[in-house]
Amino acid sequence: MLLSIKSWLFETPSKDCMASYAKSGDNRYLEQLIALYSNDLYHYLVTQSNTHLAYDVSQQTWLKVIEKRHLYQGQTTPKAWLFKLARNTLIDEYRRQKHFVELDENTHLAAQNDKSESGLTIGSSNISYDAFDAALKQLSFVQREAVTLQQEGFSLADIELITQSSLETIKTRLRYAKQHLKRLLGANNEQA
Amino acid sequence: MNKPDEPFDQKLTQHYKERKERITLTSDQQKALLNTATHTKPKKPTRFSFTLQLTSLACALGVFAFIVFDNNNVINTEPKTVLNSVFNTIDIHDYSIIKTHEINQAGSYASTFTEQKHALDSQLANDLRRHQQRHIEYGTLVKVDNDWYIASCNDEVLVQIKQSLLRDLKGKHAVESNINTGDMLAMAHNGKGQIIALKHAGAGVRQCGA
Repeated sequence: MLLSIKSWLFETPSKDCMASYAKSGDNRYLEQLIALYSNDLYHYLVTQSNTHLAYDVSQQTWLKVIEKRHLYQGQTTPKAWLFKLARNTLIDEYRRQKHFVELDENTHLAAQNDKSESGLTIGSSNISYDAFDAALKQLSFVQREAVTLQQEGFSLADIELITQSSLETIKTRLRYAKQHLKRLLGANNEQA
Repeated sequence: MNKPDEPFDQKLTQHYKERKERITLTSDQQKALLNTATHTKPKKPTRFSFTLQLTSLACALGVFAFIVFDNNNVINTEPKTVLNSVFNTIDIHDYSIIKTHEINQAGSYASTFTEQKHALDSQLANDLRRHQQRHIEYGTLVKVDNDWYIASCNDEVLVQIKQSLLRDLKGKHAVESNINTGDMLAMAHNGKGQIIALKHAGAGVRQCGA
């Protein structure tokens, strides 16, 4: 009895807030989702665009979550579903702006430098951060995406689902991306 | 397969974490996001799609009923099946008009048209006029069972010659011998549009349009 009262008072978040939100439409779950994933999504979007567009697309994505919650099915992780939604929204936005039409290995949509980022106070210990940031921005859209998603903790199967690419393609992108990064970071270290 | 480069991967993860810690939504942005999201009334796609489904179902039922009841008004719709032969496969519905020629029980010549409902009235008038003219019609014998089925060179017409007429014509020696499925035939019509003879088309007419 006491336990049930305790669980009622201090309700622990559901394992799959997205499934709960899809089922009930209760804003509590949406708030939980935003608290859990908004920064992850925003960081991914900034990596693939710039802070201004990332925030805009981030807002659009959350509105899509509200509209399309009935389409969520529990076979994917909520995070993967959200990232797929965000990615599609970003690509739609790019296409709307006529930035590019097809996504391939050569589509080089380098993330743009933001004044807010470059204005950060950077100490001597942050040289590697700048180098990493610059190197990441030199990768092609899809290679940068593959690395980012892997670093976000997604499995290859998740990345396959999010990017709608084959497993082999993803592996190749990751391999080339890491090679490039290694080369670029190595070059930067030498310069430093 | 490349070997995993663990020190580099660790470095990469470390850099990534560092970068992620720096690039976050400000508290104001997060509040604004929460505010926008939680104050947006979701559209009700399920209700809309339910209405759409209902409308589609009603339309489908309407079309189905139309087809069923309209078919009942068409006379002599048989045969409806696909006629398979070694030479060809014919779907009756590919033809707008089916002309049937026979000697009826009263012993008189009878020919009927079975029209598919999509045949236009104007086409019917033209075909009737053509039917009553004296002419030779060409077509390929595509199926022989009790009756003969001849795919006329007029693409829309399948001529069905019933056994009764065949018997009558054979009695009058008006059917050439050695006619086989796949042969190009000439059908001689009299002034009333009745078939009066069946023979092989001349050597010059091997196929429709030749």
